[in-house]
Amino acid sequence: MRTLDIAALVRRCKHKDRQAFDELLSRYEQSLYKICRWYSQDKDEALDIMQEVYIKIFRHIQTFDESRPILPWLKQLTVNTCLNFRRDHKQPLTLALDAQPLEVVDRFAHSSDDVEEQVMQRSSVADLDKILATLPDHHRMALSLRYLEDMTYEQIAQMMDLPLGTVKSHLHRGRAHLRQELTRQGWMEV
Amino acid sequence: MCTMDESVLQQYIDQDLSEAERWILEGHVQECPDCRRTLNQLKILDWDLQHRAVEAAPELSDLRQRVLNEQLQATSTPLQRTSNYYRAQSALWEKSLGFVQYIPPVSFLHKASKGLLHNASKSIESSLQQRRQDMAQRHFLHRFKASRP
Repeated sequence: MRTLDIAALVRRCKHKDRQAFDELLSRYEQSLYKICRWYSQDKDEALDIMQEVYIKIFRHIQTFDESRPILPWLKQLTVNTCLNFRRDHKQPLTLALDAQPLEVVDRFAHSSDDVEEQVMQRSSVADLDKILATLPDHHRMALSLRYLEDMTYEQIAQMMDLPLGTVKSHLHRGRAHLRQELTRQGWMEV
Repeated sequence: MCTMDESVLQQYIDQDLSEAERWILEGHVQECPDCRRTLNQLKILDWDLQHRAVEAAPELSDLRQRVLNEQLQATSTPLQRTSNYYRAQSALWEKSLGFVQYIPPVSFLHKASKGLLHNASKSIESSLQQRRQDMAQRHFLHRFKASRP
């Protein structure tokens, strides 16, 4: 869709045009959902966050300047909603017993026909998700933006409105904690 | 036990070191088993995090519809709802009648039709004239043949 078409779409959204909202949200929602899902290890929580994202887009689109690209604004809104979600809903940092861990695609270069190896991989993925869930929100969000969105340190700093050194610290501490926990649980034997 | 700060190894993973710093670190890692093990663990973790796939959520469509229903209902007055309805209808008509913009304006059509009529009448007049001439010629020839002995 051309930039001019998106600007026209946003203008219609500002007039509470339902069809325009439907078109705009359906275009970008999967991309925004991936940020929520990577950040939250619980699918239900990720959908709850997306519900808030939809509401915020509906309410705040009036303030958006349609001459600018909309995707960075949507991502910024999503990141802020993720970071504020647990604070606003006062939820403990736990993972549901039936939570589905995200898949790790083919961890090793060779074929994973070995059932035992597949079970070990699934277990390590489940542990990675559990440990990610225990990280502080800002560490987890910095990792989400780094690995899901492939952002540089500077881009993450701008998105999270943090100094560059703080972003590096969040990434390093987050990974250090993950590595130590996975080592302690025996998943890092090298 | 090595006292190297792990954050340096992290910067190496993120390719955030200068060429000289990278060269120094690689030299140190070759000599230090602790840093070598930590670096390998960080590489594995980096790989796992990079390949952590996120599946699409088909539930988003229904969720979106529900939120839009609630928000539009909550923010509109009866007059606004009626206005939104007609505005949405006109947007639909605008799309389906888009071909209208390619119809030439009335003044152009009027001129074109006058031109067509004028040309048509000229053509008809010309062919009538030709027929009269043909008939006159045949009549003349008929009279000429009749007058000859």
